[in-house]
Amino acid sequence: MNNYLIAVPSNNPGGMDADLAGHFGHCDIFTLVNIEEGKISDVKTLPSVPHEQGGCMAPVNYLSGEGVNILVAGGMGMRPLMGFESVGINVYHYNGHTKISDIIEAFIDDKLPKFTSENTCGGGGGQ
Amino acid sequence: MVTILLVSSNADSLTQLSSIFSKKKDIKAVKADSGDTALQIIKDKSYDLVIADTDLPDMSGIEFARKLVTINPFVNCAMISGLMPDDFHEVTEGLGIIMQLPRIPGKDDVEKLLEHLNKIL
Repeated sequence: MNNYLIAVPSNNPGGMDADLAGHFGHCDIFTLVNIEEGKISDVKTLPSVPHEQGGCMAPVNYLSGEGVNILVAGGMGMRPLMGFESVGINVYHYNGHTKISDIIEAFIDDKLPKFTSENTCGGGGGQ
Repeated sequence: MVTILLVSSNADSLTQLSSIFSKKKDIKAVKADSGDTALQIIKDKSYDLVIADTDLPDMSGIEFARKLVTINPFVNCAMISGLMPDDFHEVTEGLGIIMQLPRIPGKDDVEKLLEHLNKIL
């Protein structure tokens, strides 16, 4: 499959020139990038959802409801990571890229590693 | 109906919680006395909330919480712990624990927990 809807937690105002937000659950905004046949077909932003302590499944359900199937993150906990995987959203690690445009280019070039439990905050062993 | 699984082998914690929940018509609470028993229950049926003790006969509460998120990350988990809040936050980081409860939770603690849970559900 070469069609993806990628969500990247971003600092305001989002978009391709924005920076990655360090922790997905507390980002300002999500940049959503549509990839069709290996090329960017659309870029838009999606407001972030605030969530209560322990309510980290709210953004999981939110992004799943928007049709996202890929998330690229710099940091997240084990619970949301498992949540994303359970709803069919594959999570990739930012691999040091800070600009959204660089992250998307690295994804298209298949240069982003999968986000594993080793990358999670606290419970999984840290980043 | 809110479904709750109580995981503890500590009679004092369980008795108090069970007593409080039994008085609420919209709550159904079930008990498990070990981590493995609780995880098996969760594999068969989802619960709105798991309340786990920090020390279980077969594993620590933290280990239980880690296993719980891999089985069903959508189950909310609160934990009974005597740690200071900052220390509790550090050891449970990333596990999405919704609230820390004292060793023997009282009625006020449970009301706060249920109020918080309602915001999440």
